[in-house]
Amino acid sequence: MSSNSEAAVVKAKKPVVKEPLVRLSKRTNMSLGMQILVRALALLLGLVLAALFIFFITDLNPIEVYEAMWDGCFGGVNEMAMRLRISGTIKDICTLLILGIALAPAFKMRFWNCGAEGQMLMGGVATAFVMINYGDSIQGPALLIVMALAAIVVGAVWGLIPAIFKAIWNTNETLFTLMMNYIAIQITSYCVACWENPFGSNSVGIINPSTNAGWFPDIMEIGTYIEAKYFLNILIALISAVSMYIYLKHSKQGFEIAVVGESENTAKYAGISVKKVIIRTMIISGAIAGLAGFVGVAGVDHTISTSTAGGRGFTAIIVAWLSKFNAYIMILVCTLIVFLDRGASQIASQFQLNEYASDIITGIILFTVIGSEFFVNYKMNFRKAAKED
Amino acid sequence: MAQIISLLQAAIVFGTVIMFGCVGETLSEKAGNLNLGVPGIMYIGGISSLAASFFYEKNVENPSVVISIIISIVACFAASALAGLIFSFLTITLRANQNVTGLTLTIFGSGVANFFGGYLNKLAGGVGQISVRETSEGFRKRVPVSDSLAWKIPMMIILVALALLFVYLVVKEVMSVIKAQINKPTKGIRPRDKSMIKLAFRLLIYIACVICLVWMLLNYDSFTQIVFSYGFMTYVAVLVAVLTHYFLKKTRKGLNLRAVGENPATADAAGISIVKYKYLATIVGAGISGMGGLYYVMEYIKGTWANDGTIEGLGWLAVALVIFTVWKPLNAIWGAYLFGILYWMYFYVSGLTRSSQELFKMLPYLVTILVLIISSLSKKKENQAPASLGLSYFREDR
Repeated sequence: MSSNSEAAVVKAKKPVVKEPLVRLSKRTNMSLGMQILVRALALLLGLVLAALFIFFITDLNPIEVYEAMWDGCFGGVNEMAMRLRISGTIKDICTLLILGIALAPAFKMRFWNCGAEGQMLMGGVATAFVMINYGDSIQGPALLIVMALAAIVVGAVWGLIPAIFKAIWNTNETLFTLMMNYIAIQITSYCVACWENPFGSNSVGIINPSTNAGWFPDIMEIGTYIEAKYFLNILIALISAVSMYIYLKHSKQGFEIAVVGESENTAKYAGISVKKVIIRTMIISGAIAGLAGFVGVAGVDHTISTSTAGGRGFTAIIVAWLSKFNAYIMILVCTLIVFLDRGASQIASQFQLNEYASDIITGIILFTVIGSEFFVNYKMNFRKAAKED
Repeated sequence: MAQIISLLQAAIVFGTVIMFGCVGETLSEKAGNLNLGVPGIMYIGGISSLAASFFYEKNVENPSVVISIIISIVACFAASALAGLIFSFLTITLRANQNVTGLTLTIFGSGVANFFGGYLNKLAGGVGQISVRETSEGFRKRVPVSDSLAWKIPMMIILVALALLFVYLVVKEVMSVIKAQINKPTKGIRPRDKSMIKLAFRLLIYIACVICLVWMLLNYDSFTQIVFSYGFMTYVAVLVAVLTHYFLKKTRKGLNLRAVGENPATADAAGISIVKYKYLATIVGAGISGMGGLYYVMEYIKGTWANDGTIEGLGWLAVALVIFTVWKPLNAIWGAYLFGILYWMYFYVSGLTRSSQELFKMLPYLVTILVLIISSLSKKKENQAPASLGLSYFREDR
């Protein structure tokens, strides 16, 4: 009798442990196929949500809207219109791509270089300076080389300043580079006011309109749809992409960058000088962003203004992050973002929709893709059905 | 003199916008969330307050200004908090990278605001046509200061009392220094007296305040112009800054929040709910920042909407101000006004060409960089950024 009651007491006292409904654990590795699937699903979800937004706010058929977006980038009523549109799209992709490539080494090192906007502007200012003051004295390709060098050096200096402070005194680089952006904008405003033409217009106007000195020359057409004047843009972008890929994946310095990004302590134990890596990488990052300014001024706008960068420095941050610093994936991400941007201008004019809808759609899609990182990095373990004792 | 008063007035109005943004962002950053979406949140706050009061005014026969004001404030806070919720969900639950999420929120917020701004303008009849004049005037209603003795005497008494308070503080400091000198040990190891410099600095500030107060007493008109030319939200901003300071420094929950921002692993081990504090801090912080947008729309541009990028620039200045104030909300009060003075100074300094004006506009950002450098040189723990700023927390990493 007593043993029974003892057993009953023991059984009643056993604590009940409830497992949480969802438990998170970090994934070590996800196969490439699954990663692509997760991202594609996120993209799809984003497109669906954006379509819902379009439908509810504006009462338009979302499929028609997406078709119009595609049309705005790659289509057109006749061949000339298609040429213009496709060339324009490719040109925008190139500029954004160069900026993304500039940020890739910095971000891989976990140095949050939010100053691409300012570095591009400073590079553009240097380019415009050479164009305006030496457009007549230096001829031909030499002028372009001088402009490029000027842009690279100035951009590198602009990136170097925050790097030095981070390397030596651990100053927060996100905020420092952000502030450098605004100082660059003001310097650009100052230069625009100095160089303004005509006087009082507060804009520089097209630089060297008669001689085309310093403009990107028409080299060669690619296929029927890409205009010759953008050949150099594409060339520079592709060379940067391939070089950055090789640099990050297959060079000793790229390896050092990866180690510093992973863990500073590991880098120190391995004998890598973290300070030197930070400074060297930011010089490269600023230089390439300056090069983007060179492309923007000499190859695209042929002028300089505070909107030369046009917020692309910030978009490039998202591009670099989403493509996981892989230069080839960056091409895809840039295409997506430029598609959203240009497509939205198209739907703005075609459907009398406000052109800012593109920002909303871009934002929604980016939110979903950013959120999908979670499913790549973490695994959700759901509570299994309780087993009977 | 009139120039200086005009500069101060412009500075205070400008400063209030970024003060709201700064205090909200400070709250969020103290919990470890670097919310770079502040410009987007201010956009969203501005447009939602405008839309709410616009629809109220249009659809009600005799709109009551008070209700319209309440509706716009509530709408602004709700919309900004919702934007903060999106950010919180992505960064806290889904542990996404905070920089990228914040920048996306800025893009999204500016898109939403400019899109609906254009849409509202179209509804109202054209570009820049939307105007919620009555509500805006309600917001901008000045404190009814008059020359009558009923106002003057209490004001003078307050000024005199404040001046006497500062004089008392000066006297107290000097007395304590004298006492310390008298009681100083003549032999033995004496610690180096760095506090002398701080003391001198404090005395300088007190004496400057006394001089300002006496000047205000003597120039009563200028004083009323400087202090009373604004709508009520200006004073609400100062109140919010003081309350946030009190919450962070003097309450248990504020202490927990600061712990979450400094070292979430330790706070988690101590039983503080990281998720709850981070969420609440970011959402409430976003709500407060959004009020900056409301103030901009209602008081700065007087109840209309223009699709220019001014709010975005103000938002980034607010982020800069957080660093400038070394994450202390009380500093936001004078810091915001100082930024306003620096920003508008180019307008009031004579002899500047249009080009050198642009260089002047750099001043707030240069000053922020200086503070950033000095604070990282300083190594003093109180002046550092919250240690886990920008990092997401995963318990298993502990």
